[in-house]
Amino acid sequence: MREVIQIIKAEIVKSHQINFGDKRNYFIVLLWPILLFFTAYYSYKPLSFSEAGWSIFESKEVIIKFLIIGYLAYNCFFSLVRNALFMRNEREEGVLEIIFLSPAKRFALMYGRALGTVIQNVWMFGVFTAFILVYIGGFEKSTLLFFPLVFLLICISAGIWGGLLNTLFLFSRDTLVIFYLLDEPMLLFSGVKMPTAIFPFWAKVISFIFPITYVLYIARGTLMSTETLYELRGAFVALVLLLCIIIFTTSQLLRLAEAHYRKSGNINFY
Amino acid sequence: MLEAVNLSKTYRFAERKSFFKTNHRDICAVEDISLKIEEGKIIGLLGVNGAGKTTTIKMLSTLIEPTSGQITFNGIDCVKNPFELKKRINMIAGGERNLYWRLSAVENLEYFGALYHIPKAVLKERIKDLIEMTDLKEYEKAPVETYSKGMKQRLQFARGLINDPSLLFLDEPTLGLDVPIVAQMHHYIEKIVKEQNKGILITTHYMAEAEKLCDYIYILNKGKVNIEGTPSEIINLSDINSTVTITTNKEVLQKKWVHIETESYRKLGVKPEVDEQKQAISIHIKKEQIATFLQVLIAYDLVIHGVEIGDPKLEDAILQMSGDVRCEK
Amino acid sequence: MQVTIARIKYSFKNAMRADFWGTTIGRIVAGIYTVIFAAFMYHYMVKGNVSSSFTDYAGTDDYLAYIIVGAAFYSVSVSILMAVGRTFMVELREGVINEAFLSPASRLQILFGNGIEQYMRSIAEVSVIFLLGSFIRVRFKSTDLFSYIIMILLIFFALFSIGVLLSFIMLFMKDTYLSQNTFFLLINFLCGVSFPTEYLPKGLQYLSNCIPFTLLLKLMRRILIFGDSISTHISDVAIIFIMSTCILFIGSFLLRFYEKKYADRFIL
Repeated sequence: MREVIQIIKAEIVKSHQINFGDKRNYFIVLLWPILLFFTAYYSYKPLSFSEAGWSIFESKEVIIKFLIIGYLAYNCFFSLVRNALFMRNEREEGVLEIIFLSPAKRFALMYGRALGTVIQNVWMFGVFTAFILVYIGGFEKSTLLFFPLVFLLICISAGIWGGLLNTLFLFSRDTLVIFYLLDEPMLLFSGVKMPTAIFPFWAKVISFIFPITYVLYIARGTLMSTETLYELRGAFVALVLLLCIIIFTTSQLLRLAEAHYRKSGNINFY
Repeated sequence: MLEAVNLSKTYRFAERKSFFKTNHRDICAVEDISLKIEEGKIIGLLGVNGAGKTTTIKMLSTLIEPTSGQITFNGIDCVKNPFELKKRINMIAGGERNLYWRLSAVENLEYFGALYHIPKAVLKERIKDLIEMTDLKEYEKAPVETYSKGMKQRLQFARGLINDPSLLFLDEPTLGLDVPIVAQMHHYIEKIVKEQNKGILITTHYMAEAEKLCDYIYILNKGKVNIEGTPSEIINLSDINSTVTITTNKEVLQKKWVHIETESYRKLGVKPEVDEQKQAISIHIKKEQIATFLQVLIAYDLVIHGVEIGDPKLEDAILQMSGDVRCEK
Repeated sequence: MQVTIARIKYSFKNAMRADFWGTTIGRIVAGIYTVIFAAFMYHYMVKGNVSSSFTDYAGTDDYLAYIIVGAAFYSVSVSILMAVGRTFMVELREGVINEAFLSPASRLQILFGNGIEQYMRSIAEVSVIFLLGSFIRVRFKSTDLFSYIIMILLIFFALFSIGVLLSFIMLFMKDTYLSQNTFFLLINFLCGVSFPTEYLPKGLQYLSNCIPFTLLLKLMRRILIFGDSISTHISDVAIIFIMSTCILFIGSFLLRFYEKKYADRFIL
């Protein structure tokens, strides 16, 4: 266990050192969710909700809360995805081979990488929370208590999701297609930009495969005071089950990935 | 001791014939290689480009799985239990890769040290020692991308020793480095073998380096061990002779040259060559014949100003043998 | 011209061998998802109702056509900006930047070759987005061929000019990921890709108008959605051309300046 924690810690520190060696990166990474959020917010402007029976979305504050929670969670997930893409650089630099030369537990490596952006998420989450409170007049005091829970939920879920992506990226240097096939649908189908309740059945089925869908459901339910924790227990259970499946899949894929590159010898091709 | 028996590796290559059609081709990179790496010894693995050196080293270091064959380390089967070997080895490659360029020397070493589960306090001390040993103290906090080639290679060396390995694999470690840095690298290598009893497998294209460092050499050709032995054994396998050059004065040389030439041929079966400009005689003979040649010169009262004996080099031996039919030990 | 042709050949071969499916499918997928998202919002969320402000600003209530044109442009702009902007950074990463900068080849020709090759592929990629639009019954109006040709050339010129500037920024920051994604997000937000820029606060609207893409997108929508001829928008064409030319000059000047002064930062 000590070894696992050591590796996870080393991966987090390394990721932070590489991504934030230049301090400009802190502000760029903060700028992105702000831009994404406002793009989504203004995308709502051309549409008329009242005639369609979505009167709650007529309130600017509700739309903002809805989108901000969505983009906060999405950005955490996306930053972990971005970290997985970083593996491509490691192939080019030749360090991936050196890492796999070591006896470091592979599981710890994958999850350590995924959690490597935790530090930047803390920064971003904090600033964004302050932005919410200042811009729209704040949440109710009782909901503020849920912020740490929501943050923890996002980090754990995103970390596990990121572990899977890191493992998928081990298979080949040319796995950008996985990124496009998983990231864009995640943004569309998981309820980041619009409620999953409006989706047709087939879209809802797709949304169920992403952990962020459940995270957002829980986050919005608690932070927007629409549901109690007890009422959200179904979503919690579903999320835990899904995360367990993802962890299991990751472990199997990790074994396959290492066997694959040991056979083909191509871990460093770039 | 690491022992490899009958290692082979076949790669499958995909060749795209058209948009939808891909042909597969099997290429045997390494075939039936057997070798040993003992602690406290430096083993050389030589060969031309594409001979199978890197594939061999990657198999031995568990990065690649052999298609067939056995690798054992002190009795442990390393093909089945690669992680057991991973704890005890490390690898240093030449070139400027295998390091995080945006991280400093210390940060790189801290990270790689953590991968080997080295306790924090031990790691801190070890990093301090390695930074000092590789003379990087002044630049330890600067990002690696600002380092010169030599500095990067020294840091690679430090990284390779971070887990205090019993065995170290050096894949062309002095590639592209200048003479003083190469001398430094050799010094480090000899030091860790002598003082820390580490076993080293080194691949290199520089024959002089192999001759200087290696206790035993395997020479690969087309994926197989072509020749093996100590450097002197390999040299002796070839027909390369020593070159003896005697400088004298012009007048004496002109008077006595014909006699010396005839007598040398009679006694040694080889005719010497004369360089009138340099006022020197040179001859290519076996080491054991040198004394006889000198006796011939003395017998004719040749005034000897200087004697130079050029011993056969490993490079010459390998060049000669690669042109001949394969010599198998 | 020789440099451009050589670059086109290299760029095409490289694209075919290096993650062809990833980049091609990725861009098509991104464009498709933008359209799907808009279709979901339009059909399922608001049941086809757009606000009167949208009709005023866009000049049409055909929301999906509006979005499809934006998505198509955004997909092409990401492709071209990446192809042109990342040229020298990719050379740097692959260790061939020495050769690129050692040669007397025009840097603009190198960038142009990459850009034009990518543009040809992008036109194919973007047709998928329009095809999807036809499946969801979005109809575009047609106009004269000359208008389409000018539009296609103008799009490339505008994108190329910004791409050259981006190339300098990437070299300067020695980074591709952060700079390119910031650029893309800014384009998506400021240039009217998924909503009329009139919704933005006044200050941001001024900024938006400084980017040639904003006017270019408006022009594209006039041609594709309304069937206007380019001859009725000559002043817009001129403005886009002049802005792009200025940006191209600035970008190429900065590149040359940077290569002279700071080559030691990236020459291996």
